[in-house]
Amino acid sequence: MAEVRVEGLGKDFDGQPVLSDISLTFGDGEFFGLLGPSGSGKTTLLRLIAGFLFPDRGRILIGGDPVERIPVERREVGMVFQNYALFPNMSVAENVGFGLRVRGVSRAEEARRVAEVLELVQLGALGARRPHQLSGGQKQRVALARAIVTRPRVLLLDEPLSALDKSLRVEMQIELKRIQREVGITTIFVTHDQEEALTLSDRIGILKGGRLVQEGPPREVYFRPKDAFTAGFLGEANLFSGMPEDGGLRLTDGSLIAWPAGAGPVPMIAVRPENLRALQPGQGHGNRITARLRHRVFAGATGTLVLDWRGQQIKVTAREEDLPSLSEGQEITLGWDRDASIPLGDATEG
Amino acid sequence: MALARRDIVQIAGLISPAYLWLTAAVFLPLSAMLYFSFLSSAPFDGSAPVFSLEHYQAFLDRPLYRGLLWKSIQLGLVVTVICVLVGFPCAWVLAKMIRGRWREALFLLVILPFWTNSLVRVFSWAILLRGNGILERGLDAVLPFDVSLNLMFSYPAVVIGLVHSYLPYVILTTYLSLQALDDSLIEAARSLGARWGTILWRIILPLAAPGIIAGAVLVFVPVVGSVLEPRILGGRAAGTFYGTVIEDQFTAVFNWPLGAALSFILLAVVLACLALTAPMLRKAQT
Repeated sequence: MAEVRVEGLGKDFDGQPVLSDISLTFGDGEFFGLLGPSGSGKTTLLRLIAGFLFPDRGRILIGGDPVERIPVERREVGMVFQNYALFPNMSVAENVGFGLRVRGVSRAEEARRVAEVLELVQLGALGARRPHQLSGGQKQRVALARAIVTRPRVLLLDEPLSALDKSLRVEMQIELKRIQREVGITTIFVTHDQEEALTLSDRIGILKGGRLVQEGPPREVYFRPKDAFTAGFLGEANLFSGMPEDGGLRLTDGSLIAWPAGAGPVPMIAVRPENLRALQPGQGHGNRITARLRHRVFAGATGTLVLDWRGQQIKVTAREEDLPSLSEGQEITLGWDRDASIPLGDATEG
Repeated sequence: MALARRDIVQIAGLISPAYLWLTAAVFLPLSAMLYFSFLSSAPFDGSAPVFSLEHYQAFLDRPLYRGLLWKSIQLGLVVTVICVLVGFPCAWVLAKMIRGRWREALFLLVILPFWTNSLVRVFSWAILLRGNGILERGLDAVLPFDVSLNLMFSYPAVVIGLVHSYLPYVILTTYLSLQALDDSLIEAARSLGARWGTILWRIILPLAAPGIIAGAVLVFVPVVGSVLEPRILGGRAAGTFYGTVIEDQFTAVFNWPLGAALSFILLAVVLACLALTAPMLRKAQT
């Protein structure tokens, strides 16, 4: 168990920087989610921390020790791979015991620790099975058991749940979190699935184009994104840009959006689709726009209206029965609370 | 799985040309040879065939044949082991370390021996290996001391020629099994603290075993019965092997029944060898 710190970390491939100036602290026992679109450098960052790659710039410290030049074999990290990478020629118990065998742990000790960790991941009875006899979720558990049985200082997960189907994924999220809490190991995981990141993480970091855009607890990053990219990547966001004035943001249609409490003048404001409401004529207060319905999306419990506002797409999400019945092309007035506006920095930044 | 009638017709239609051909080209001549092997002498002069087991008996009675068979099996083992030792690293590089144009180019070089006539291939080795040949002169030019290298008509010459001929089989079959080996398995082993020796021994070799064994069988079987390389590169001094003795029966001594009997004994021994490796193959596949 240890705190992991990266300082000014950078990596180039073929002379092109894929990761630039990453500084982050992963707290002891923390579950940290690295989130970003493909090509954002999140996997490179994970592989640098693991020791599969060496950085071109910056430092990596695990428990205060610089490790950036120590290869993966000696770095004492546990890693779970996207496709689990279980050894097909070994049984579950042999897979899990591999790291112990390599370290010269006695057979008795190995058997005891393998049984213990298989119990932890609730696979106690399956030690003799071969990987090809396991379901996706079971393989996931074996991979996790194999990675933590050697008691590494850090656990790294590369898109750990992406190969599972949706219902199993939700179940494994809960399991993963339980196991991580029980072991208390510093865990860093990479995902492109925003929901997964929000559910699992104590803190998340958003990467874009090889740079860290924002980090913080999921709530903070979700409700207070710094820029349009984060707002749009983490959940959906309707973006309004205009001219900042004293009273608020003057939109191109002339309407004024009041500044949320404590926000200074910014050129752009985001509003989450779930915070927009359909207003009856004359009803409501403050922020409002009038938009035209393009089409309606039904997704079970919730529904989404996709609307057109001055050529820009606006989304409204609510419980299906709370959405007004509209026909396509019909106009509707939308409003939102002053504090539902999220002030954003320059959208072109980063 | 139950097959519909239409499927059966379709399958039969698709495979029957190949199997008819195999029946005509392999099974019939082989049956004729099996028949010959039980005759006391070849019925070329029109005399009535006399059945006898004398040629099989000859193999048992005369230590010469048993000794030659053992020598040929040893040759097969030596050539197979060298092919695997040389071919595995090559297959590893082709499968895991290079990509694109370079891989294609190196593959071409591996396959090249297949495209050259076997006689040309063997005689070109003869030019290289003989005393005062290209190899000796080349070494003389590079090395400060006088090299006297006359490998021609020796056991090493036979081994060199056979390794050259059969190495591509091992490289290709091993390449295929290494290609199927997921790189993340090696990364997983490394992250668990394993060094290269452990990874090779516990992960790579077990998973590549089907390919290596398949390649080894493809080498071993023809090498045990090889004729051309022992004849030309081994000559009188070192070129007498089980295969060349069989050939002699057909081309020099005209004792076809003895040649046929010796051939079937070889076939039986080879099948026994394959039966020994079959459990290993099956185990490697799980």
